[in-house]
Amino acid sequence: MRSWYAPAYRTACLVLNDASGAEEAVQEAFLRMWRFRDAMPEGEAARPWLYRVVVNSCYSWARKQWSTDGRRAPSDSLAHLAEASPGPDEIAVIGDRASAVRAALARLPEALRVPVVLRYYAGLSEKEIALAIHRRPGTVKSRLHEARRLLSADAALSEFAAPEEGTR
Amino acid sequence: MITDDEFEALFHEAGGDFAVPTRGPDEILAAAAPPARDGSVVRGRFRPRQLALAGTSVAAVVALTVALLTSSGGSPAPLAALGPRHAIANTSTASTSGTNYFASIFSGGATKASTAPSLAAPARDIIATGTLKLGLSRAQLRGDVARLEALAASFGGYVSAADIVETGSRLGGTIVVKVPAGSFSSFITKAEKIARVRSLTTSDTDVTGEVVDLGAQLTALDDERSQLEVLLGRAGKISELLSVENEIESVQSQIQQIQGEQRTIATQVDYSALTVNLLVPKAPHVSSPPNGFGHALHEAVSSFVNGVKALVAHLGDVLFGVLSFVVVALILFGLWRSVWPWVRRRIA
Repeated sequence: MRSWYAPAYRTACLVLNDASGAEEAVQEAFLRMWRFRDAMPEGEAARPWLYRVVVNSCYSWARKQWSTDGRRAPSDSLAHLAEASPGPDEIAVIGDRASAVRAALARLPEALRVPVVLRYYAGLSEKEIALAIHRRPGTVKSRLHEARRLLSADAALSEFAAPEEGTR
Repeated sequence: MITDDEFEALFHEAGGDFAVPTRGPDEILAAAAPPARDGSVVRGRFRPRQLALAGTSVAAVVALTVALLTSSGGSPAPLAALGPRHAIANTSTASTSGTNYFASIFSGGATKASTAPSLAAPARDIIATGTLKLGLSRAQLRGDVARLEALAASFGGYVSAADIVETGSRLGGTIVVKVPAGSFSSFITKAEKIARVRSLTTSDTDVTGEVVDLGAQLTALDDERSQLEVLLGRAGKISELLSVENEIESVQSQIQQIQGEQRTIATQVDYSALTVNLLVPKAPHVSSPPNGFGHALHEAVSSFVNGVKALVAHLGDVLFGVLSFVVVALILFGLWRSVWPWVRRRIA
């Protein structure tokens, strides 16, 4: 149980940028998986299906936060998490690459954050992401492209990436 | 521009920075523990609904583990208590627990068949449809429609729509038969024997994902409604009360909508639809006798024309008589004018 808990939990953390929220979301996700285990597809489709449940649980958690904290627009349900994240100046003080990535992710719109996390952390292919977030592969591709563009342009990340680019 | 490899490294670094709570899996188990007998409320962020679900799942995992441990020597642990929907197959070949099953998928994407033989086969939600084109003779149409209806009824199905055309040279139609999904192929096999098959197409649509999505949405909305109901109890002002009630109404409406969608999908999954096109060759064109106002008008015009024709014909006869009379009169008058002076001279 512990071995499969970790990747799901960390994916939820990157999506929500909130450890306690991720814990709740993943717990809910596994309860859902158990409840709907009969519907779990076989073979290669199983992995995106599981991540889909995790992502849906993240959305549910974010929606609950919206419902509890105030009257924010549902489409912007994860946006307020970005507002709470540290800014570039704070990141520079911390000097932590992981924090910089998390902050850059938190500044991404929700529609871009989820596919990019699934791609680069969970290691899903574009096709699997399309299944996981119920979008067409073309949409996933364009969102990943846009997310990469925004992340590359993010001041916090470019600080870490620039020296590596220069060495190539 | 950051490369894909760099992104992967950065993301894994960022993800690895999150310390996985060691109590995470334990908390699910703890949440399933029975409430304290002294009446104290279980502390934590688990709501009763989650506790119930967690209890069910953990009990299932524990029961499965016990079953696996005892499968070599003793009898498997009874799982019937979980209910028919949650029953787990007690196979003697079981070697992997449900938790390891999830683990294998998350860690390497292994297939379900190879890692989870102990779990029940997944139920897929499939909507099966088909189109059958039958070539019939004109005399067979009514009889074959009745035979299809009887055949559907024998399988526990019914005719959900029928459009039979029997006017003039047009003869044929379409009927839509719905039969229980389990009998769909048997029904088609028997329906093909009713008349000559022109074509047959069938298709299966897997809606498992939609069903799961709807279930997840419903659960989330249920939770949201529960939260709102708690808020409703705490509302002090009328404005707050009305606001929360509006929210509840909105959530309730969404719940009903999702339940409706679930019912629709369930019906489509349970009953497969076969559209039967009844093709009858066109009959040779036979002009039908005219009737109605158009016919009366046509008759009136025809009678008028015929009357005029008759009048002209009769006038022609009269005119011919008159003209003949005039010609004869003129001849006689000419003769009289030429002969009368001679006659007067002779008399004189």
